[in-house]
Amino acid sequence: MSFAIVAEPLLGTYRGHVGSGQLDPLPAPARLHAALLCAAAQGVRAVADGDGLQPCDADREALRWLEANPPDGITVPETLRNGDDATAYRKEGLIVKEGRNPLADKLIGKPAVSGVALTGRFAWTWEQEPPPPVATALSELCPEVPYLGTSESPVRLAVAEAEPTHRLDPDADLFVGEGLDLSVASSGRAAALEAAHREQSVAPPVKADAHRSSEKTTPPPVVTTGLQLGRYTRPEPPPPPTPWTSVLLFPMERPVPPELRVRYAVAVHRALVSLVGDGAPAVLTGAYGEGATPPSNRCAIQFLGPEAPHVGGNALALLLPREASDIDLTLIRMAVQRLRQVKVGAGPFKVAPPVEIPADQFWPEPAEGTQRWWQTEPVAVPDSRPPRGGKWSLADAAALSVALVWRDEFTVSGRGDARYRALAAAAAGRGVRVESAVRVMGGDLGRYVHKVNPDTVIQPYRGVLHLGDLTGARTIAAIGQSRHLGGGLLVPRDLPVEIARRLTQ
Amino acid sequence: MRSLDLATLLAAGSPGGSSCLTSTTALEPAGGRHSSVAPAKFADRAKKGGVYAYEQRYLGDESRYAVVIDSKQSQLNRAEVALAQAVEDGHPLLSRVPHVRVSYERDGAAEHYYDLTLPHRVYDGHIRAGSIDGQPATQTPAYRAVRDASPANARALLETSPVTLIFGGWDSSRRSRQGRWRSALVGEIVGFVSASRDHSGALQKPEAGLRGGARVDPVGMQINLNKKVMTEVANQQQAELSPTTHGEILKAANGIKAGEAKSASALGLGGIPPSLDQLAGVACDAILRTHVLSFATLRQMRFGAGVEGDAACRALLAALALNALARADAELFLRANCDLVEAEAPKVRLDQRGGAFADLEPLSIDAADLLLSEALAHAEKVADVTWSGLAMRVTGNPDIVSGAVEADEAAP
Repeated sequence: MSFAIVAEPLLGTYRGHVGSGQLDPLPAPARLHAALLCAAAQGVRAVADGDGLQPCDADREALRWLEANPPDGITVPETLRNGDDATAYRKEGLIVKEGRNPLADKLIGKPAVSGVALTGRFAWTWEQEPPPPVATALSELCPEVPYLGTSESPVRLAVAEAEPTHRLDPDADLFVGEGLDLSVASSGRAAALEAAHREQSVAPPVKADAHRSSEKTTPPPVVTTGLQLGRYTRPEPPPPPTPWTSVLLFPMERPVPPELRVRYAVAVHRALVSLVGDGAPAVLTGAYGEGATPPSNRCAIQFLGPEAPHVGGNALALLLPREASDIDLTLIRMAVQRLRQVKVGAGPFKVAPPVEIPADQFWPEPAEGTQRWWQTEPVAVPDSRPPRGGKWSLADAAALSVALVWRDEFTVSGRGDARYRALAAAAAGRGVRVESAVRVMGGDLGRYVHKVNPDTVIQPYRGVLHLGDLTGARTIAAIGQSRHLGGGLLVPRDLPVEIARRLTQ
Repeated sequence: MRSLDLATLLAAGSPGGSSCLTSTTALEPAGGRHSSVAPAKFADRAKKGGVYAYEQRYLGDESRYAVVIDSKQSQLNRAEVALAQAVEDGHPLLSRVPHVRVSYERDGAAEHYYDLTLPHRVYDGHIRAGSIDGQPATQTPAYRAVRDASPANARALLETSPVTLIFGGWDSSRRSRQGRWRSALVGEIVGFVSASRDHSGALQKPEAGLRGGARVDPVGMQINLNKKVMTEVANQQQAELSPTTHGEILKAANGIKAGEAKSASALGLGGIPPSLDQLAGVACDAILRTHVLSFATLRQMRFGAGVEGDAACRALLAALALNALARADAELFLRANCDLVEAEAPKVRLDQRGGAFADLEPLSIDAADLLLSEALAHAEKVADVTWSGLAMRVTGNPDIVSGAVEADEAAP
């Protein structure tokens, strides 16, 4: 970062008010500008202006530069918001009649606790260094600022280095989206404040100074000229690695019915293993040596219907896992080029040569005004039996399945049931929400899984879920026990933003 | 470690000088770390009765709950009272600090109040409503000069009410050219307490403990009086009772029918059964007293004395603020059940800009007096400052004193 002004609160708190007295959670760029103007206009750098003072030319230039160049970024430290019902009553120094006769002191109650506590410093940052005279003026002006907000929050202000946590989005639509919408000084702000100050600095006539039996505070007018809102947004963190890096998409002539997908996937699996031949990698076969720790995910085989993207129709998808080595992937890619026909009980089916699509660019973008949620296709199957000791719902099972797919994103302690519960909770902590999870009843439930422990009760379900910040909106993935063989594919289900917000709360 | 001297204050008051001086002191209960302390009580907006003020703070990088043991306003009041007490005691140096006195006559006796302790300092309503030499104070050139003082020239305030410049003041009811002086000195005492966290790690606000209270009257747990006796006893104690309480007791007495008697608990007679409804003390694992003296604030004041003279005036104000601080810090009695001691010597740091700091020796009262006398002598010499004590005598408005009510009645 090229240039930054840093504010260190000396009592560990920042206290300020905005609007009609609401708590100010952080000093906006406009407050910094006002504080610098105040220091410039009455500190040691100010020059005579009649019987008053005004900023020197260098400081005026610096303030104009600030107006033309709002901070590109701000640094917001970790803060804790305060305020409760404890009220401090004080005499205000005004004699107020207010119905009493004779006169009485006025008592006013204010919150005993307000403001925010913080660890670290606030900063306003610019990507480009200001012109040298401006940089010099700001460096010398900053230490002349005693407070930001009320006098109860003294600061030490200096030009120093800082890394922004939020960046100005000059194209932001302030009515849409999220971010910190902060007051920013724009052209003419300093001039307007100075003019208002000059007007307020004229001593009233002697008669108007007479004590009145009923007094009240007359704060100076609020100057709004030269103020605009700027949105500062926290840069989106890069999405976590996708569980599968890319997809080999084979066009097919006809769709595979949902209840046959596991069976068809098993057939494709056999065909692929056969094509690779001896030494087929474990990420394809699923057979790992004794003592080896299986990865979170291996090659997954899924089917898409007539709406399948990229190929414009039905398709067989082979998802290549992130954990596969380059050698294994090369073997698989070479073998699949020869896949043309798959034999299955209902009759063989043909596939066209595949195209490879990056997994994080698989699905189309969400429609405008919607938020991307996901629906299991056709159904998902829980990865485990319900853990003992406490309630466990299908929604918990779905959250656990998500956590197992993105297992490397979570560090949880414990083993067995405790670990399952911790993983489900950790997924919720990353924003995973299950809006609905409906058990599929009747029929041969075995059609949704390939192999299962004979003691395990199969509970396939249809679910709609949000994946929080675990993945991007276009990423293809599948969850659950059958995710590698035709089950638990997550297909987009875009919900209107208002509904989606309610669901994520 | 060097001591704070006049040269340091002069440098801090000059262009390019320090931003601030900070003083941090670790305190602990006088009874030992196992003891609890009684924090300041505040009114509760939501219900009747007092509460403690808890707020979240960081201790290092750890989020904690802290309880306000002494607020910023209270700490400043203690500094002002310390100065006022020294003036009252006829301290030869501090008696020279200019101040404003408001005098009332009540029941034939003179009462004096000073800008040092009036809530709004030199802009307080008691001063503005009063008169000087028979003329309304607000119409006199001397008081007008105080009100018209500005950062461009605060000389009138320096020579009339310098405490307004260091503790702050706001001429909030004036129509224009309001004096708005931020306090150059701020401080607080907070105690860090233990608090549990919820499943997400968020702190849960501590609940203040309660202690039991009772009163035993060896004559009888309940003493009932008839109308005549209750009226007589109330009238005998009238001087000890507030007008409101006295009136309420007489009203209750008047309601007693012949042959009946009612509880005289309002007169302090009879016992009070034990109840668990009083705020208990709070155990703190760290108590910190912090003060900040802002030289940046002082540098926003000029006194028509040129660069050197203005720096001398700022050094004088800084010395006065430090004197008040040294005196207030020396007395650690805050309130009942809140006796504290210093666990270590105060850490005093002077900002030297650019990330550099100078560690200074804590200021004793004697050293603070010496520093103030040197600062005053220097200001007299280079800025023609004259400090000779009482600077403005104000005769209080009789309407006000006749309407004054006791604080406990005025409070909501």
